[in-house]
Amino acid sequence: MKVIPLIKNETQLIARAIKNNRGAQQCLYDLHSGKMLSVCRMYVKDLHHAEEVMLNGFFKVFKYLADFKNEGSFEGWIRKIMIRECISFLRSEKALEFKEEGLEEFNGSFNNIESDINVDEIQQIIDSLPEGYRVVFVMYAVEGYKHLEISKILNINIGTSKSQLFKARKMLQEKLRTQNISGYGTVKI
Amino acid sequence: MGQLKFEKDFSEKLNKRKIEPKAGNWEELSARLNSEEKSKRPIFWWIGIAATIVGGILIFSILFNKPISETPEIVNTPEEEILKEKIEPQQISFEKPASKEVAKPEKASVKPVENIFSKKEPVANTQLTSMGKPQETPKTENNHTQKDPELMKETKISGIPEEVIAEASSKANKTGEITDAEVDALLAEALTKIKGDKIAKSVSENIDAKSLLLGVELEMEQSIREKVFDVLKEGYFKARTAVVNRN
Repeated sequence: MKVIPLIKNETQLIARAIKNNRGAQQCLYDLHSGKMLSVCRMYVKDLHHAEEVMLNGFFKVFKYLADFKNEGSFEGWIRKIMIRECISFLRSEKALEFKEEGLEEFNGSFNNIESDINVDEIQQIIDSLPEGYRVVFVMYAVEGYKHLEISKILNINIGTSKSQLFKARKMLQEKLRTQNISGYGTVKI
Repeated sequence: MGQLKFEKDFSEKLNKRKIEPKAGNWEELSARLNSEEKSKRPIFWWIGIAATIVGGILIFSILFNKPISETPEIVNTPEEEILKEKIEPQQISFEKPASKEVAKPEKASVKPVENIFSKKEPVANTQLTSMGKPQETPKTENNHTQKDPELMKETKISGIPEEVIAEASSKANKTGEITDAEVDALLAEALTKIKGDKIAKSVSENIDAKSLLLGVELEMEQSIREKVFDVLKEGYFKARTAVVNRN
């Protein structure tokens, strides 16, 4: 019986994958594909399209793997590529449109609703948002991007990014309330 | 604007989530990566071929440029040597006897002789472009040919016909003295003969077989080089268009 040594070290895997070692590339794909498909699914409604976007993303990951400097986490680097790939997909589908609106209109408060719903239900609620709202909301609330970063990536004004988030929150709160989710306390934003 | 409670909950749950992709996704990706690699390889091959063609052109240009630069040198060097050979013996032939025999009694008469031939020789080499100048020479030669028959013998070397010298010497032997008119007549006769000889020489010098041959060889070499360049150019352009079409 042959013993195939498992390469657990990710840096070794990356080094081998740079040299077009298919085995190492497959290992990296298997390690990250589940999470990356989840990321793509947050932005792209259809799972089949999300998978396509993810494959395109991984293709770019392996193509430009030599450019990866071990400064940050490899997962973070792939994640960035996936997000950009999702945005370019939505742009190609002409689904991504942003209305330029002033921030003054959105100085309001939110009921700090606590949700107790599962991931599939969360995904459903997010899917119900318009494309622009959804992208900004996911980038801000889930990925942790700042408005400045979002505005640069999406090529929009910071005000637009804030207004999109404001509207997305409002819509989500209403949806959560209608689903009889218990809420308590108020927080001024 | 901070993160709301439900947003935190969303973020935690969504970041923990994993969606397993279809089974055949890796095969699809692997096939795409393979095709990408294959498409890269031919480009490298074409670049290599183009580089070798360019290298070949450079080598050929270096090899074919060398003989062209050398040929004019081969042609020029013998000409210079021939000119030197022509000029040197004449100078020696006039200087030596003048210093031995004519030096003391008639210094003034020796100098014009040298001057005449130093002026005349380049004229002969440049195919007698000016024909009027020699009229002055009889006057200068007149002085020293009167009393010096030996000096006249020396002029024989420079091109004065033997008949004229013989006539002059016979007259001198008979009468003992030669009049100026006789000398002038003899010199005029000699000049006409010299002119005739030089014109004949110039005609023969105009058509130089060697120079003609060298010229033809040079043209032949250039044409071969151009042909080789054309062939290499064609090959290079073909390779380039093939690379462009491939891309």
